[in-house]
Amino acid sequence: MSETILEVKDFGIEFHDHDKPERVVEHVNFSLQRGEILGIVGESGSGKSMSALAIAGLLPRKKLKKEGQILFLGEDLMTMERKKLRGLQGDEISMIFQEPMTALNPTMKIGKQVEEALRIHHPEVTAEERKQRALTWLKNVEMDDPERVYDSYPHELSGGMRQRVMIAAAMVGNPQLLIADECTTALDVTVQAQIIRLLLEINKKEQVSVLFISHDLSLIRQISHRVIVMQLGHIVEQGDVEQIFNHPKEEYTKKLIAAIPKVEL
Amino acid sequence: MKTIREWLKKHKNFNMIAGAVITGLILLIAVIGLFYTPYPSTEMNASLKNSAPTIKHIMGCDNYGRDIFSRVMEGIRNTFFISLATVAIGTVVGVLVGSVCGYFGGLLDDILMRINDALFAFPSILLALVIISLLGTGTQNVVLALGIAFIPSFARIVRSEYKKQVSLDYVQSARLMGAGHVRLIFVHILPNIVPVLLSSVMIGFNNAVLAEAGLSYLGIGVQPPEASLGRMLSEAQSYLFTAPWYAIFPGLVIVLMVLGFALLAEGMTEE
Amino acid sequence: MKHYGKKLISMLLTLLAVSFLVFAAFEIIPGDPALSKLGDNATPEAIAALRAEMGLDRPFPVRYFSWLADCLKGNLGESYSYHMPVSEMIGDKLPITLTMAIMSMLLTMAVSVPLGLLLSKYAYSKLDRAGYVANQFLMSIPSFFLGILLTWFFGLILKLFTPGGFVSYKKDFAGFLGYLILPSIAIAIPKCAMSVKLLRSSILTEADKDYVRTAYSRGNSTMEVLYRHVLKNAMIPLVTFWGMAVADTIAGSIVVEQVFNIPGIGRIMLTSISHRDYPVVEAIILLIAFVVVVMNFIVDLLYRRLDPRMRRE
Repeated sequence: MSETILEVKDFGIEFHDHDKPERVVEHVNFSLQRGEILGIVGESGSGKSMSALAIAGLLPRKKLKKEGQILFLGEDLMTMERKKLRGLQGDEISMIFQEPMTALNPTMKIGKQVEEALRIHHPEVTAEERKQRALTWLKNVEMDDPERVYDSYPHELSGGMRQRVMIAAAMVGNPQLLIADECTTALDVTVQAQIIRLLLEINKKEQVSVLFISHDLSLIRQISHRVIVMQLGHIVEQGDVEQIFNHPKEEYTKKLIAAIPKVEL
Repeated sequence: MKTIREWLKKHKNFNMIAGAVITGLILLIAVIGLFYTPYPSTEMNASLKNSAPTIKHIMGCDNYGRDIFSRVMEGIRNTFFISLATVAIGTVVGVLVGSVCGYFGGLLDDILMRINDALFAFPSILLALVIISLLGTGTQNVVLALGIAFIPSFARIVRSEYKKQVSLDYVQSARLMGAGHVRLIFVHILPNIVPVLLSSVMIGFNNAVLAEAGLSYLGIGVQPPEASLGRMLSEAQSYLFTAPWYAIFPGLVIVLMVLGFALLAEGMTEE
Repeated sequence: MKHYGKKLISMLLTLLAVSFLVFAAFEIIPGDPALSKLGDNATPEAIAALRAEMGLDRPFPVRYFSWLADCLKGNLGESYSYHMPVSEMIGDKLPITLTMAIMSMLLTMAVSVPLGLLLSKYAYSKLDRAGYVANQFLMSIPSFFLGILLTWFFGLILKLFTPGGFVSYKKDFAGFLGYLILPSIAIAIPKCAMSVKLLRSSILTEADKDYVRTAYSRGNSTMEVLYRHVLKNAMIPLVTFWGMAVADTIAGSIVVEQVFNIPGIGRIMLTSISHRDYPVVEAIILLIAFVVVVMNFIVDLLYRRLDPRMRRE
């Protein structure tokens, strides 16, 4: 039985920071089921990251106008009270970012950052329990020595380790929706593969829905169940991953697929 | 007028403008002070002792009945030219030391920079005090002392800029084309560090004015009967109750001088 | 631990360099200390005898090391003009200057952080702009002029303060601290203005960084992001600035002592300079160097606590 976690209806974003308003996202419609991995692919400027940030509730409120609806379990995130939205962020909706080098606070210990979502959303959990859960998640993301990592600072870890820390921190509150925005772009190929495998495992085990955003079609193909292709703020095409890759309907999609390097990893 | 407004709208560099206006005004007074003051700065008038500002004496008169505005003009002139000379010494020697250290590196660089760091740990006014205790008081010695005291900070900035520039492509290619060390240091690299140098020169002026005023407040520096802003303040202190304007006007002028240079420095880093 | 050892050695080296520079500088100046001690009409024999007694006939390195050894033993030499041990002359004055410097540093720290937070919170508003102008202006006022203005306002107009009414800390400690409040404020205001400006811009720089977005994505409120994440990072440049401000504050104390008629180190230094009483000047410089270096060491410790990236060996 499938349950709709996320439904985006006629969504659009307009920038107002210059003299002329600029539409960066328009008429975006899609939905995401429980346990599903939905890939969004597009070049830079296609509006995919903007949409992801909007769903995570991280777009600044000033200088831009948003329209349409983003329904999370039936409730509209866009009209939701700020405080209620904060209650979802990090607890029900988590996000992993592109830059593992800078996305962690350089002066805060890894452990504190991993368990932060628990501290904010579940004050009833004791400090000891929090630490245990953080350590469990550090182990889940294949850290060799969770205890040591827990007491480390970000600069003491490699890029791949930091990104795994980000995943642990995003998952510690058992969210329903995980948004991964270009989360492998800054990493080298072997580390990329490890992250992809981890995300797939977590998705299967925790039944978390994943919105996987990337410009890299071959990654999207490896991880996603369904795919959305975006260009210049519009959805060009969406459908099952095999259908899109084997029988693309639109010219743009065909071009993108043709541009994938033929060497299989 | 229109072009100024357009420039303003484009750059919005109010720091630069305000700094230029204030400094320009002060500079103008300093230059006029070379040739003309409303009254001779040392003319005493017993009937005007500690008199309040009037139209004839816009800043009032001091405890000897001397016109404070005339003395302030002279003080600005002295402070300005002492600062100019000080910054000139600091910049020239600082650029020489800094460029050689930054360009060549090595043992010489290590030794000079160690000394530099030891000196740099000292506030410039203290360093100047020490040098003056060696050389004795007087205007020239103040200039020398402050100039020497400012060398470390300039040398430090210039050295780090040279260190950055030396590894850049244009230096390498100039070297391949056969440019010698001296030519590389002064013809090729120096123009590229001018922007950084310029804003540190402004900060240097800012510090020089503060240090000069501090020294002359302490009674070291420009010697009476020549007027100096700092000394005026220390003399005015005894008459604070009867003639507060005697302290306030010279003090405000020091503030404006410092402010002008500070704003210019700020504006230059913005550009 | 290894780092602290290194730091300690570099501290000692700096002090050694300073002591050498000081000794050498006073060595090359013209004038014979024996002559200045005895006066112009002393006989050559008397001068030679005194030179031998003072050890001036020994070679330079020998004199330097014996002077250094004496200093380490706490024997800072004897004043030319007062004919008393220098350590006795400065000993009870040093606490006065140090107390003032420490009070103004504490004042700077306590006041600038809340104000910097306030301005960054209302960044680009009218309040922020007014704050900018006020900061720029206050930064430009020399401490001694501020001291004069404060004396005038609090002493002569409000009559809350007695100029020249300094009390020794040995007699009345509370009264001593009370008298030092205004001088400390005078030294602190320009430093405080610079700190506020620095903290504001540093908070705004930090607020644009990626980790701030991460913190929001976990459900932190604006306040939590500011206090739990941004502030600590934003403090790093400020602490660096405070480290450099220590030396300046001590220099400021020496000048401001004159404004408020405080018998601290500054007073002795100035009279010694005008009397060319070199042993006293040498000792004071060494002492100030020592204080500055030790303070820098403390700031470095604080800095390491704040920035874990600095802890890497």
